[in-house]
Amino acid sequence: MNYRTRDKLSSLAFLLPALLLLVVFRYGSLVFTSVISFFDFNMLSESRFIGFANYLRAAEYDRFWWSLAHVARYAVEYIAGGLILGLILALLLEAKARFLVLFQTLYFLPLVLSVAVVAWVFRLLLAEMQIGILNDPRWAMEGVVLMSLWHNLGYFILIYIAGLSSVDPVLYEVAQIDGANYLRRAWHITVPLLRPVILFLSITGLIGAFQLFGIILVLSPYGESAGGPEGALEVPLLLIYRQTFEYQKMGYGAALSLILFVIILLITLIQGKFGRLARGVT
Amino acid sequence: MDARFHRWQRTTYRTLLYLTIVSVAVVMAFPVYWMYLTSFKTDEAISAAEPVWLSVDPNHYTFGHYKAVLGQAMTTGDDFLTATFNSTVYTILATGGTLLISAMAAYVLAKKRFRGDMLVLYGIIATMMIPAPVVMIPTFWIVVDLMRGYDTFGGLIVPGLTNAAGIFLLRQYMLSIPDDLLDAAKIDGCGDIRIFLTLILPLSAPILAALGILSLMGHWNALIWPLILTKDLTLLPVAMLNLREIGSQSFGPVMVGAVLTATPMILAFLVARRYFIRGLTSGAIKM
Repeated sequence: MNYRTRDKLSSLAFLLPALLLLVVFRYGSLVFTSVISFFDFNMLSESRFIGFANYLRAAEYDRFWWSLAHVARYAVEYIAGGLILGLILALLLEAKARFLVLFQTLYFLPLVLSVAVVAWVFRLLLAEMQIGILNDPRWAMEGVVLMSLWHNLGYFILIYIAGLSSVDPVLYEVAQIDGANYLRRAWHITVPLLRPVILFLSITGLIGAFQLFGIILVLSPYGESAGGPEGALEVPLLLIYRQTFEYQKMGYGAALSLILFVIILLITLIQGKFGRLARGVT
Repeated sequence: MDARFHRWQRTTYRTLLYLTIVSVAVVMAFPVYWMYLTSFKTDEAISAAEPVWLSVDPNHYTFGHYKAVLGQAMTTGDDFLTATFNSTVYTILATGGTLLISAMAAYVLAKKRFRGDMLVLYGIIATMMIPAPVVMIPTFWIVVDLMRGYDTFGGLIVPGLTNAAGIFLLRQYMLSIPDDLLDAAKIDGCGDIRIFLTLILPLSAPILAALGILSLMGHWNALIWPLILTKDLTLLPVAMLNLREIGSQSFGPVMVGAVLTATPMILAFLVARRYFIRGLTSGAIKM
């Protein structure tokens, strides 16, 4: 065996574990999800091809479409909140505050917690302050937005700060000489230059928001299955989880998760287009 | 700050700035403080009409919840001592495996040229577009039916060992390792394994630390996959979830569980803060 062949073989051996896992658990699984969405599939009995039946059922599954509305509302509030609060706090932290490291540490601290911890601590706090927001079907989702914002605000701030550090300080000096005050500089220089950062945060935020699930599970009142008061906290993944693992309708669950996937993909593409257009104009 | 600002304006501005920064810091820290405090409070102090939050009266505090949670199995088998052990084993194995497998792939992708190398790289990156829930059902089927991995560490760990973002992160970093160094090692007769272990891994230490801390937190905090795959092999977040059964009647033991789940990650964050930040930001900036 010559040197080149040996080199090729060892390269392959180094790549193999990662490739194998990705091919099986990502690509293979994606194909598998698509295939079983056309089957009456569960792990207990023989599966049966049923064509588009799962999708037709999904089309009439009102609670699923409502759950999409719920996460859409969550996504808008959570992303808007994160983008605005994150920007303000990043700008404030950037304004050369002393004890920067201390404040950064405190701001980023919630990021390292499990959603199970976040949900429980907020249940405790809300119970002690006698705020019944989670039991009110009209406002329960805002309670979840609040928790998620507390949990992830640090991420928004972190990414903004990273983006801010790439803004050329000369631009500010020029604007200052031209007599632009702090707010005008922030609005006319910082925000436009941060557009890629804002786009990135809103896309990743959106993808995450549509997969909201963990917090909802922990928030459900004990003994009952999740979903919040009058189903106000029913989210797509909760329904998919129920159909798949509680009712054993895996083919149906697969169809629902593919619908969710396509919706996320479409919104991401539209966002990307929109973001690029906005960039092209300026 | 404008030079035109008068002194009092500047002072007001500074004060407002600090006031905002400090009050937000308090908001961010308070729930964590509350979690720790409540875990030590007696049931009476927890349910007191006037919340106990700065009291130094020893009658308000107790180790009782810790004794109860750590001393005996609670309802539905949520033994937190076992769960802590399980979480530790799972997290260490999964993080170590992720780092090793990602670093091996990244080494080849950064330092070797072969036909289709870019195709492989793009193929890996593209998997980031597939959200985990979409592949959850087949993953479950593969692990349970084909691997016989239900309720086992192996089943928990294996599907999570792939991290496309991690491979990419490592690969970008390894590109900066000079080829001359590797060539010199090759001339000295080093094979790929020696080069990988003695040159690539040590030189990539900072980025391995960054990926390691993110992977550590991701695995330790994971809730959904362990929930689906396990029955008796309880990890901490699942144990927290199972506490719904006793939940609001007694927050004390629940907060002990929260403390056990949160503290190792808070410590890891404080120790490796720099790497944590680096990991989170480099993934984003490269976009």
